[in-house]
Amino acid sequence: MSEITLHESKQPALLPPKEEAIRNDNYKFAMWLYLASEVVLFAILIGGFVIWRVQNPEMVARMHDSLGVGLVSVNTFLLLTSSWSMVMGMREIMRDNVAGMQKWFAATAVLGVIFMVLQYVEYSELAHLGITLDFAGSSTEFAGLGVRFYSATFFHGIHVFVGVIWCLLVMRRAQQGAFSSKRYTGVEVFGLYWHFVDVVWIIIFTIFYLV
Amino acid sequence: MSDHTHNHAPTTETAHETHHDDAHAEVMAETTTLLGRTLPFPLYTVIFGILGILTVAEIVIAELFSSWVKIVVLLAFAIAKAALVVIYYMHLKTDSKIFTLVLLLPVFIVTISLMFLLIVPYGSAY
Repeated sequence: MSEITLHESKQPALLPPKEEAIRNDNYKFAMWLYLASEVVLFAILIGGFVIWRVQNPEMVARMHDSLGVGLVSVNTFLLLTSSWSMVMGMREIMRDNVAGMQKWFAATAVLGVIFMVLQYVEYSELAHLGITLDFAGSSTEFAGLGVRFYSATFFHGIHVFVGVIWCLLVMRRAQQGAFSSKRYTGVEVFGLYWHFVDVVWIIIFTIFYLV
Repeated sequence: MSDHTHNHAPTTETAHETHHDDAHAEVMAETTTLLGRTLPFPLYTVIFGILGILTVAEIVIAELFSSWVKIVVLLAFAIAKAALVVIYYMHLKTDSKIFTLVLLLPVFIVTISLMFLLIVPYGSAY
């Protein structure tokens, strides 16, 4: 006699289409509310840098001259590419192609990890230049810059780290059959988070490194 | 961005469902129509290409120019890139307008607050 193994799904049952659409919109609305709170948090950190930067243009210019834009440009392209691979993965789950989705999401996670590694390399270079977390206000030529620079970029880096973990969890749930062309809100909600992290980097890249 | 033609039966579908189907078809299509030309790439890839081009332009402008105009242009480029990601990758173009409001409200408030803080003299007592 053949054995039949039943895997109990952790997903709630699919509702009729209209109710399912309402439930999905509620999940996404919750995510947007969370992202709205993140807008305020990042605005405080980025705004703090902008206000300080207007008063200290020479110091920021010295940092730009010493650091260059090569490394951070690579990082920017990595994050943009990870956003692209995210949406391409979502496109695959909309076609019921779980393997295709996982491939794109693996690329997203790898790009996120490389981003963090390069950010560490950049922080090392900045530390060699004397840009450190000088809470007490040291007398170096970059006094006051470090705490404002690192608070925003590191806070963003933490978000990338969380995003990578979340990406791996979404891939695992996809492996367990949690997503399909009829149900992929979990993927969409993660996508909202990851793209938001990308949007914040677009702003940080321009304000902290280019302007 | 894309203006593919679809044959729907509006008598049997609500306007919302038709709109959703159009958005779905736009995302799933293998080609994208941009400025009257059909590109052999999906919409998401075309957006990625535009983001890449804008980023390269930003870097070139930042390296070559040094006037205040540079700051205005770079900020405009950054806003354009962020808007592309939010509208197309985060689906605000097709999702509920309430989501757009939820995003724009704090963005508006922090922008006004930042502008106010920038005109207050640095180091003032209040």
